[in-house]
Amino acid sequence: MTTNGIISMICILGFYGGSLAGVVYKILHSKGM
Amino acid sequence: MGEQAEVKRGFASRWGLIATLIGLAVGTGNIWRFPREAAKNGGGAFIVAWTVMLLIAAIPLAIAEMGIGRSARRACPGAFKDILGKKYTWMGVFMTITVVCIAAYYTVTMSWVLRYLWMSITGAFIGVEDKMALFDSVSNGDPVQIVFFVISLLITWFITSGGIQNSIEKFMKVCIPFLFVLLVGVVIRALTLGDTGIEGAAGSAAGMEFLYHIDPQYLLNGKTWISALIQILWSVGVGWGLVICYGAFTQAKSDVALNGFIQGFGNNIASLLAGTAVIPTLFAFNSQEMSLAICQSGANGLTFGAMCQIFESMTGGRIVAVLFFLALVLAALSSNLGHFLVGSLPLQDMGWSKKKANLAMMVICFIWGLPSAWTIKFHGNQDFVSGFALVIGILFTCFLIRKVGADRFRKNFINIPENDLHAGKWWNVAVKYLAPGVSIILIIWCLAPFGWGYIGAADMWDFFAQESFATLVGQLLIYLTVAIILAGVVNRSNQKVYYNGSTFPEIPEEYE
Repeated sequence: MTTNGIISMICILGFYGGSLAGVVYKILHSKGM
Repeated sequence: MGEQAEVKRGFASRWGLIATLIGLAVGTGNIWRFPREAAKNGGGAFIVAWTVMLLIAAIPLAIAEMGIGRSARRACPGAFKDILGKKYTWMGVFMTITVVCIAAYYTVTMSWVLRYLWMSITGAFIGVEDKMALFDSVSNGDPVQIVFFVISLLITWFITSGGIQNSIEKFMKVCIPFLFVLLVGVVIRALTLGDTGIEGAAGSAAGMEFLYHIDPQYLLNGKTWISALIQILWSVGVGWGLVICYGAFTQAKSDVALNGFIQGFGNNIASLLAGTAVIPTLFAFNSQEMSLAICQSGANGLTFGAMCQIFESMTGGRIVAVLFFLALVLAALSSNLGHFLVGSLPLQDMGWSKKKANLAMMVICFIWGLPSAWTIKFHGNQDFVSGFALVIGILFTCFLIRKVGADRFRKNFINIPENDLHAGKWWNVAVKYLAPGVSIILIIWCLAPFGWGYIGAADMWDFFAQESFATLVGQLLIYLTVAIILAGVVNRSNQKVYYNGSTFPEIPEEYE
C-alpha cells in the first residue's frame, strides 16, 4: 500500500474507532437509557 | 410502581433499543451497495463525503424522527396529525405508503438472499458456468422464488407479530451482534487471501488501497457528494418514518441525541466492514480494471455474479458464502421488521388489534410484492420510485420541525436533564437548512439532464418504463392521491391523542 493509502486508512478507521470508543464510554457512564 | 409499569411497555433496555436502531439502519444496502458505490466514486474520498453527509443530514434527521415519535406516541399519520393538525395528516400517510411499497419489494430482495443462502448451503451454484444467467432465472418467472418470497414474508410477519419488547427487541439483541461477528469473519478471510495465483489479479492489498486512498480530485466532483448523500440517506433509513415508529416505544428518559449518533455510526461501521470484505476480495481475484467493471455492473452483478464466482474459486469459499449470505439475510430481515411496523402501527393507532394489523400488512405486502418476485423489472421500478418518495419524506420531517420551531422542539423533545448527550444549536441549523437543502439539491440533480437524464429521454412519457419521468411522477401522484384519501379516514377515526406540546407522554397502553 502507498503512504497516502495507509495514512487515509488510519484517519478513516481512527475516526470511526474513536467515535465508537466515545459512544461506549458515554454508555458506560450513562445516567439514562 | 410507575417505573415498573413503564418498563412493561416499549423497549425494555437501552441495548435493545440500540440494537433495534442499528438493525433498522443496517440492511442489504450496507453490504452490497456501499462497497460498489465507494469503489465507483473514489474510495476514501467517497468515505469522507459520506461521513460528512452522515453528520450534517442523517444523524440530525434520525434525532428529529426519534423526538417526533416519542412526543406523539403515534405512527407517522397520527404523529403529523397530532403535532401539526389534521390538514397535515396526509404527509404522514404519504411516508407510510412509501414504506409499505418498499416493504413489498424489499421482502423480495430478502427472498433472493435467502435463496442464495440455501444455495450456498447445498452448493447449488457451484459449477454453474454463467452465474448471472442463474440470477436472471431466479429473479424472473421462477415459481420456487415465490415460495422463498412467502417464507420471507412469514418470517418477518412472525417476528413483528410478537410486538416490540417480546419479539423484535429480543431478536435484535441476538441478531445484530451476530451480524457484526459474521461481517468480521468475512473481513478476516478477505484480508488473509494472500496470493490467489490468478494471473493479472491486483491482490487484496491493492483493494484496501483502492478503498481507503483519498484522492482530492474526487472531493471536488459533485457526483461523489451526491452519491454519498444517496447512500447515507438510504442506508441510515431517515425519511421513512421508521425511527418515528420505533421512537413511539422508547422510554421517556431515553437519550435521543446519543441514540441518533449510535444509529448513524453503527450503520457506517457495518458498511466499512462490508467494504473491507468485498473490495479486497474482488481485487484478489480480478485485475483492478475488471474489479471496477464488476462494480459498475450493479449490486446484483457484484453479489450474485462476481462474489458467487469468487466463493467457488476461494479456499473455504463455501463456508465464506454461507457467512456472507447469512449476513445479508439478517441485515435484510432486521430492516424489514421496521418496514412492517411502519405499515401496521397506523392501523393499531386506529384501534385494530396488533394481530389483525400485522396480518393486513402481510397480505398487502404479498399482493404488492408478487409482481416484484415474478419479474426484476417491476422490482427495479419500485426501487426507483420509492427512492424519490423517501427524499420527499425527509422534506416532510424537516417541515414538521420548522413548523413546531426547531429550538422549541430541541428543548422540549430532545434534550432532557437525564441525557448524556445534548443536541446543541447545530441541530437547529442541520434540520432547518442543511438536511432540506441537500435533499432539494438531490432531487434537482437526479431530475436534471446533467444527472440521470430522465428528462428528455426517449421513454420520458412511458408510464410502464422501468425508470422514466412519467413512471416517477405518475406513481408519486398516485401515492399522493391515496395519501389524501386515507388521511381523511385517519382524521375521522377516534384515535387517542397523547401529544401535549411540552412533555413526553407515557407509552400508551395499547402499545404493550
